[in-house]
Amino acid sequence: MGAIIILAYLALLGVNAFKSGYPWSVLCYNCKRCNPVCVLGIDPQGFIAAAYSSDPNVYIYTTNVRLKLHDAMDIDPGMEIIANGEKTTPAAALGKIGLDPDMEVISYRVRARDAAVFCLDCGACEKACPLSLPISTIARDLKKDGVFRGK
Amino acid sequence: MTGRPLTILLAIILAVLIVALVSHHRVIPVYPGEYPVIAPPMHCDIEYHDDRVELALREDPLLGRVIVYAHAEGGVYLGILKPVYDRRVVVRRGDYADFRAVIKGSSVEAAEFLKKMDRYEPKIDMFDSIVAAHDADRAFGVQKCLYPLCTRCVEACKSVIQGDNIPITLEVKPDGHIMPVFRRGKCPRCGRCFVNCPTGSILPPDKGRK
Repeated sequence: MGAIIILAYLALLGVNAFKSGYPWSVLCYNCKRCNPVCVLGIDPQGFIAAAYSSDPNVYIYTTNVRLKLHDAMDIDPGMEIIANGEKTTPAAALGKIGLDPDMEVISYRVRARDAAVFCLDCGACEKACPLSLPISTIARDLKKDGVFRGK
Repeated sequence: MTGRPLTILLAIILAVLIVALVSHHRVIPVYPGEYPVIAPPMHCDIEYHDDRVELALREDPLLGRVIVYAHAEGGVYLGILKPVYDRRVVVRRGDYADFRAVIKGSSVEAAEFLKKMDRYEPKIDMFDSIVAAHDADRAFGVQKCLYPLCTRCVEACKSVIQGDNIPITLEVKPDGHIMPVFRRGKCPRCGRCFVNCPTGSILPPDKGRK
């Protein structure tokens, strides 16, 4: 029974990967070699996870994008940011905590579609990938209109 | 009897592989007679305050972000990737360097990220580094090219892939910033460098002429 559930789950991932237009994303075995090479702290594996779950709104680690608090609020009030050394959200920082909207904050976890907009397209993640998966194509497609190629 | 068709089949496969390999590495000049153009370095006016340094850029960066760099003692180059708002970049006390590189002569020997997930190892304050560079008459400023974070131009270059003389290198200029430098002899003029450059540091011939 357990094996059937695992196989069904893997089949679902495969179907989603085809649906989103990146069937190769199922090859990623999450070795995390791409993770430490992004200067913006984006976890490129997050793009792949978004692709094989066919959901560009998956939250992924993006730990080093500096932006103003009001920009973070405009992009996504629910993203995780670091303001004054504390993890919070733009909605809470502006509302409950009452920080200056012009204050510079650092992102922590954002939606894959927003991380794609921040992506510098430097290709470091692809270079680090042992399978040479074209990870930045996902970011490029999401950057255009926030949807996957297959949509 | 079966040996001959098998040999022919293997020969055909080998021929197809050779043709595919040769056509992949063939250098086709797209802009014959013309070379890519290196964009001029980015200049800024600097205002010093007690708790921050404000850099007013004279042009809009393509990405909306620039590297603010400062040279430290022992040939260390410190950098932070900052957003640009209204052509202004502000480096405040408590903004830590994102990466550091070791400079030897005019080239980068090694580079490492200092930001690890939600912490810095070690914490190097960029504001203090800029002030120290200013006081010690060392170079600091803004840089359009993302090297050593990005090396797309070099990796995309057909001559580099083929292992010929390398037409493009990234060098530390006398005023401290890093930018691409061309040696024209081996440039295939395929246009891959400027197509892949995300910052507009390398421009196509027609844009470079304007």
